[in-house]
Amino acid sequence: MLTIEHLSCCYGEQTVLKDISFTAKQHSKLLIIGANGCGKTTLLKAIAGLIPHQGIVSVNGKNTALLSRKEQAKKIGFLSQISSIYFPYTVYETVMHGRYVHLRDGLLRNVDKTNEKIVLKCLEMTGLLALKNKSITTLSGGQLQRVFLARVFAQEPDIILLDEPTNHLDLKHQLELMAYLDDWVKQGPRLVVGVVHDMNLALSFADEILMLKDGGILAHEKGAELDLKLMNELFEIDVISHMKQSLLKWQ
Amino acid sequence: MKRFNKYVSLVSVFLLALMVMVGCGNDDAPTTEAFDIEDPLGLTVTVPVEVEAIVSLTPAITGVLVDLGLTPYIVAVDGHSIFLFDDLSDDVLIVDSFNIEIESIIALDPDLVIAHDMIMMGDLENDPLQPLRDLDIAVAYLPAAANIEDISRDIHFLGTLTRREEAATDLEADFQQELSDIAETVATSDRSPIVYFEISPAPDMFTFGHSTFQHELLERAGAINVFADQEGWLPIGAENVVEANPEVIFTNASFMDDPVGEIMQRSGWEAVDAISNERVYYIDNNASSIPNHHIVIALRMMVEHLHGE
Amino acid sequence: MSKKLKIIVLVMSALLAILLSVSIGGADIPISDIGRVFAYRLFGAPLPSDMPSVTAGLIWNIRLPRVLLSFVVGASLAVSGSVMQSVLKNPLASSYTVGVSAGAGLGVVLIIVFGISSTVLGAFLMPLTAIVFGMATIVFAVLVASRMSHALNDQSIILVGMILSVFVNAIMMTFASRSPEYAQQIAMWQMGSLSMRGWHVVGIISAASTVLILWLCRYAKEMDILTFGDEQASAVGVDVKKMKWFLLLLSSMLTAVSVAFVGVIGFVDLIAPHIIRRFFGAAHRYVLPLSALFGGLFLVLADLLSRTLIAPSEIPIGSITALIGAPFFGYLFLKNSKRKAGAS
Repeated sequence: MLTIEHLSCCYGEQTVLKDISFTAKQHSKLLIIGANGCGKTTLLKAIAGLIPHQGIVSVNGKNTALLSRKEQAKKIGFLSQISSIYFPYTVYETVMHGRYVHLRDGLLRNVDKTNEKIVLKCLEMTGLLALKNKSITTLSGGQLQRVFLARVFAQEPDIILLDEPTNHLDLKHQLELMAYLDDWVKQGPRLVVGVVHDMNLALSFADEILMLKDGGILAHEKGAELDLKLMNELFEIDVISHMKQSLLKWQ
Repeated sequence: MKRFNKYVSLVSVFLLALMVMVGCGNDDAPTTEAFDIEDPLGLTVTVPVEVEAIVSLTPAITGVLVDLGLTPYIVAVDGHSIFLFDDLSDDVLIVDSFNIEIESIIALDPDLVIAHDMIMMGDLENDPLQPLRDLDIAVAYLPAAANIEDISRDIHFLGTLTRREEAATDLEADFQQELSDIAETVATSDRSPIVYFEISPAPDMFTFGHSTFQHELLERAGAINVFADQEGWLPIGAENVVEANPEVIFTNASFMDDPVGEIMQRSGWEAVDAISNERVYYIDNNASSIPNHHIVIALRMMVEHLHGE
Repeated sequence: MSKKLKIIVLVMSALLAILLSVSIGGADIPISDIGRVFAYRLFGAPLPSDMPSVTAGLIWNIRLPRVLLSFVVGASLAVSGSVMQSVLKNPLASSYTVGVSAGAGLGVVLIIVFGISSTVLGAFLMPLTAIVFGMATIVFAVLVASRMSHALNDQSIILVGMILSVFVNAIMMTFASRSPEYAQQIAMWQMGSLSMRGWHVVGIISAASTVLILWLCRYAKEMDILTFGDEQASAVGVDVKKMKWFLLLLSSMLTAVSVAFVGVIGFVDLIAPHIIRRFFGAAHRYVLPLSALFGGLFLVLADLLSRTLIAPSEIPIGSITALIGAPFFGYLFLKNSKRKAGAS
């Protein structure tokens, strides 16, 4: 469903991503892990078309570079960390923004019944129906992130990209968020590609793992077949021992 | 012999006394001493022995100096004066009164510099001409005349400063004569029209109230200033002029082709008496904005328009 | 109070302000007389014989166009400010700070100082020059900013705009200082003036502003989305760079057209959107039209003050808006910082 071919990306002089190629199939949840600065976020943004890059990103065979911003957004949604900038729109209004790519053009752009229905459905999916008229400035971090998730759902993309969306959320909300995404990806020809900081969360959620090191792919495996020893190479410390020790504490 | 000597001495003394008297009685014989005089600001000016290089920094002052016969002695003037007086020497230095180049003035080695007190911005410590005073060059400050009396005072003051007292007296006498002739004409008229005098045109109009020399001109012309209750020069709202409905409108705006025409076609002003009766007149700009004796020109024009028909 | 009710109150206040402003002034004209003049001008009804002959001309050709002009200019500036603040995500953003007034001012000064005139354009030479120079300045600022940061970063635009503004202003001052005889004219332009502009100016600004404001309203949704940040807006499908260019240019044009005819009138574009957002929330489908309404109301009242405080003389309108505006912002920041201090 998603094909990346020879993707490279630089910030000025620095090459952050070198010749990345991989594919991902529908219904799958592909998570990218790696040390800070290895280019995970850059890769996501490049796929989303938010930053310039070399190489080809194709969704269902179509090169996204040939599409307008609107068309790209119809296929690919992006959920990032909670930003600090937001104005007192209601939950409903914010989620309705997700319908932007599907609205007709015009001065009296009519929010017709279809859009309304979809927004309400997304609110329901994320358990926000009761809060729909509240101002987003009055919400907690977890609630706010669910609003943005609902917005992405309302966008009805084929692929959702996640840029560490669970940062700043407590454990309950982290698990909740991942559960919503899990449901979503099952219910259609959809794909989730993301970056999650918490290793354990990543391993439990993902079907496939992409390991990124220094701007290149170290490994791309199905979750079950993942060679955990590669983790040590990836992070350059003994991750396995560290995790095992933590586990002991829990037992 | 003794009696003859006595007689000769008597005659000699008598002749000597006569000569001295004759010598002293002649005004035009130059006094060869510098003297001090107080200018209208109360500052002491030491007038030098000879006044043959004069710097004048306002057109009001230049106008008086020219009429005192001092044109050949004027070595520097302000930017406005140079346009007004054709007979000034070709090498006269033009001084920017907003940005005085002291060194150029010093280079002329002037005997006397006369300026408007406004250049000090009210602060004696802030005198841009201080370098001249430090070099002992005579500097006199003349505030702009606020009324006819001041104009007369200025003529005399300038006459004394430049050692042309007699010419000054004559000039003043002519001035007063003109004024009284005009007063006679005005007295014969029984009209006292209400006048609006515009000194800056639309869209942001300016006029004047009392305590200005222009206001006194209007009064001497036998008119009533529609804004007599205001003081000094002020911006005025269009609606206030229209509502006051003056009978006559004067304008001295000079930088447009047809100031009268511009006023006549102002939207919303059509019903104003002055406009419906076509009593809108241009008054010479220089004569009505430079506070010296030439104001009689403006005064005459005003009287003609007000009482002539 | 529901939104609908608030809107009704706003509309009524605007109408009342206009009526008051036409009635009060150097001469207070009773409302009944105003009605009579309207009847006379619109339906040819005769005027009462006891009405002063100047009243009809005063109301119809001096006061009324002036009051309507103040409304239209206030509305334009308010909408322009709303857009600027949303696009640049800065409550102090204004077309003025980004270069429009500096550029327009330079154009005006050049014409005055060099005594340029055109027989073809006549009285339109100065406003046209002001618009062209004003737009050129801001186009240049956004171009430079887009070179600096590929994504048309807000801070870049604001910074470049301010530097350019200061620079252009300095050039203007240099020219102005060399011609002190025009100092008064130039100073009056810097303080703005609504006096004696005539119906044709009202017409031009109204027409241009209506088109521009309606066009901007069409993008209310995009403006809402832009407030969440460039990245999120892009992710949702908005072509951020194109939108920003477009909105900045259009709102600058809105300011430029007014500035060209009435000079620089500040603070309306900062105050009006702020107050509207306080009462109506951030959604642009409300903020844009209601800012227009409030901006118009505000300037109408400011003009009333300018005409009546020292009657028969006038205070320049720019001074009134500044006198009201500056303390208002002082109060805002105080309140904001208190709130922040309290919260932390």
